Amino acid sequence: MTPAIIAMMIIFGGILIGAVTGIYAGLHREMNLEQWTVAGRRFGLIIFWLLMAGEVYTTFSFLGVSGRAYSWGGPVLYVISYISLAYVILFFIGPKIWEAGKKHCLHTQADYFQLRYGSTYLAALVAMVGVVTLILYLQLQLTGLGLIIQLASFDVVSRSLGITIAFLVVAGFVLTSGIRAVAWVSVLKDTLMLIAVIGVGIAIPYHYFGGIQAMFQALIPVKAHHLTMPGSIPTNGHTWFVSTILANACGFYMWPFWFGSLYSAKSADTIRRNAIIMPLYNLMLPLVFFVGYAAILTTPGLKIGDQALLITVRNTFSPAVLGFVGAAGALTAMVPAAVIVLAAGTLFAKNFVRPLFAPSMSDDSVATLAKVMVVVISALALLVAIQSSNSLVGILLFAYNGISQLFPGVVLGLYWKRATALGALGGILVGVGTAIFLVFSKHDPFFGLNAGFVALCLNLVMTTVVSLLTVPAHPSEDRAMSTAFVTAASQTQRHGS
Amino acid sequence: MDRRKLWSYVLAAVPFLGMCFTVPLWDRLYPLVFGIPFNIAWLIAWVPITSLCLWGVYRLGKAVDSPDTGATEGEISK
Repeated sequence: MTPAIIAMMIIFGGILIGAVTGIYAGLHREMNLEQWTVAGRRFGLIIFWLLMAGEVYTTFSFLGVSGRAYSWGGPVLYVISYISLAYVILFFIGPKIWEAGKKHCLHTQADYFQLRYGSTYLAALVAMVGVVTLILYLQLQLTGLGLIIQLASFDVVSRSLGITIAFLVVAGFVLTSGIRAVAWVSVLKDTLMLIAVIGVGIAIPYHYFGGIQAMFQALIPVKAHHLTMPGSIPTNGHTWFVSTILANACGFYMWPFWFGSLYSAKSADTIRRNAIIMPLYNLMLPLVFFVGYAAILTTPGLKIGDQALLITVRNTFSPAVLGFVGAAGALTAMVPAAVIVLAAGTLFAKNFVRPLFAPSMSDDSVATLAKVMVVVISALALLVAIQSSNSLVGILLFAYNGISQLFPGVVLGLYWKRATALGALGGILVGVGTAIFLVFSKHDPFFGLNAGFVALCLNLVMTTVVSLLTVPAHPSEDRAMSTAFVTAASQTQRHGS
Repeated sequence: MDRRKLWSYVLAAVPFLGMCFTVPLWDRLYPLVFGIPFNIAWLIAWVPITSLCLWGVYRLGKAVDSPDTGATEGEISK
């Protein structure tokens, strides 16, 4: 057997086990909207932890982070900081979002906007911002997946064939088992990924240098400036670092799939306790940095930094190890991809089509339409991913900057009774507009500041000012959660189910 | 503001100081810690500190939530 066949057999073996696990997770359960999107709100501490870890650590933390350690150097440290600080924000807003969801049977992020602000158009706008950025985020996962399959098969299996197979599997288990599949496939994904990261992160420095300490002794004399900020990217200094961390930590839980995942928790306490232990997961990130740093000396001159980890593994170990790392990487793309298509499909059906075009639709029909959309969105993303090259970094950056703009609407909605629908609407439009303008006119960073951060500041000002100038939608009950809307929502719910 | 609530916010701000705003103070190569550049070692140390801070906030919140009802897990009934 050629090395390529051994590696590919292991990768597709991993994908197959993932598929079986995912489909099995939903067998013998009636998959209505409530089960499919939020697993009946029954996830306890451990399964919820696996779901969270499954969604946080994507191909980006695996290939992207090692790639940035390789090509950026010091600025890559922002990843540890912003993911840790995002959990601090989660600790405070997560339980509140969950409580609103539990009380009013919410399924999506746009449902929350609908409930809090009572505006169908605002909710539809939020749903659209969500769907567009999710599709872009999906591109990142698909690109990573394609890279893994291409490199692990020694360029025998084409990128497009690999992506297509993996994607049929993802659509398959999302359709049959919904969010339960995501949680259970995460068990497999997290186990493989942790073994791969710890193994590779320790083994590569040992193999080439005799240890991590020795690796830095070899690296510091030649690349000392690379290891602190701004590293090899002159614009990424300390101002960039602070503003990027603030923008990303705020934006982190604004990805629409988080809302569905938060609603799936059994209690608010489950979320708080998870937020306490989740930062510890970041202790694996330095090992990923080490692989990227080691590759500077062992594999210099790579054009695409994201290939650093896989090429180093391919040059160092047997095809079986490459296959194992590839399988871990493939599942690391597939789990987030699954939750992304699930969220995008639900948002489109529940918060865009039903309220605007078919108000009489039942929840069951919404679930059916959402499943159709899962197939459509997967197919679209697949086409784009196969057509386009790997130069998606700019668009992805924009996706993160775009989704962060929902932060003021969500958080002011939770903490400030005066926040109004028009305020949130204006804030989102100004924020997304600023982010698009700065990124596409190549003004990111803007005077050293992350473009998403600049947009977020303007957004916050806009939301606050417009809210103060307008009257809340339900002046008679000027409260955080308007009961008038709430009754309507629960009636719809009873009617639907 | 409630004293305990104030302390929870102070405690939650600590990781932001350690991992974000103080970056000019710790973003350097030396002294190496177990052979690892100082900036990486600093952030590795702050990961468990972040967890500890959140645990502290959690304890403070528990003390507020359950005075004498014994409902330690009772946030649902609230």
